[in-house]
Amino acid sequence: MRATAPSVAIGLREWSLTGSRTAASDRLLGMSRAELDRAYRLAGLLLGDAVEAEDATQEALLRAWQSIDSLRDPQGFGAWFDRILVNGCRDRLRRRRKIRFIPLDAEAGTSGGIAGDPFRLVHDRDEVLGAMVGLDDDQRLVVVLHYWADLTLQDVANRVGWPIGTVKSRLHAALERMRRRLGEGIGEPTEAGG
Amino acid sequence: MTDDLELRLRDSFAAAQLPSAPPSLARTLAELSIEPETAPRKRRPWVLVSSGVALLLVAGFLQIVLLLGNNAASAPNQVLPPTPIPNTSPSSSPSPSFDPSSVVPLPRATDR
Repeated sequence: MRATAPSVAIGLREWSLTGSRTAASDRLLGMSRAELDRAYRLAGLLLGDAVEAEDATQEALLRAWQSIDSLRDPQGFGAWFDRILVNGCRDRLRRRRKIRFIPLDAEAGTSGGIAGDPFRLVHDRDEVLGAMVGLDDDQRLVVVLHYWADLTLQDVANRVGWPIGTVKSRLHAALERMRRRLGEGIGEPTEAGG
Repeated sequence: MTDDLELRLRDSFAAAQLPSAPPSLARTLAELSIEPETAPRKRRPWVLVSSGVALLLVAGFLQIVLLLGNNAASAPNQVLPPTPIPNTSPSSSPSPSFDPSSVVPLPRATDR
């Protein structure tokens, strides 16, 4: 369900800062435009839907605000906020449990709606990104965090709360599936990101 | 070694034209920064109850301290009743219990 602006505004009036404004809350409120763009794009790539990406990012901002006291070190804000955002996206994916990236031929005949979604178009216009269509949610999550967000596999593991071995095996499976889809040869995933 | 697919993935992601965050997200951040200072702070009932209990406990403790202090101050002025001094001289009775009839009066001191 899409969160509307009025409901957000009403919710905000009910919240108040407890105690003095901390460095952590300043860090959240001082998020730059680039950071907002990055969060929104990450959600969009994971969800494949601009409207849901907006809702997920907004929800992550509110959740972050509510749990701002749990952020001890403002230096770790990026990873902390990523975890909130990624968890929110995974919850949404679990709820809908359906493939978001529909092959182009299956899309034929539809008009408007998700067909014109900017995050869909990214996959439709690029052969390699289009090969992500066959990935499951967890595989897509690892691919996006490692190759788009440029996180090391250890950082990916920290963001999603999986053991690093699980991250590696899911990345390996994802690349294998993409290679098959692209009709490429076999290769091993590497720690190129760090 | 980074294989071809991984390189192509990175290139494709870098070249992808992803949309910018919609203005609603910036508005959400701006709304978060508005602290509702004008609204009266809600008093939680458990705070009131625990404050009352704490006050009662402190008052009770102070009362006990004052009572003990008064007792200690008045203790030296009290006249204690005379207590009989038990005779410690050896008794002929084999019984270990104290028998008042077996008390032998002490010899009186005589003037010389």
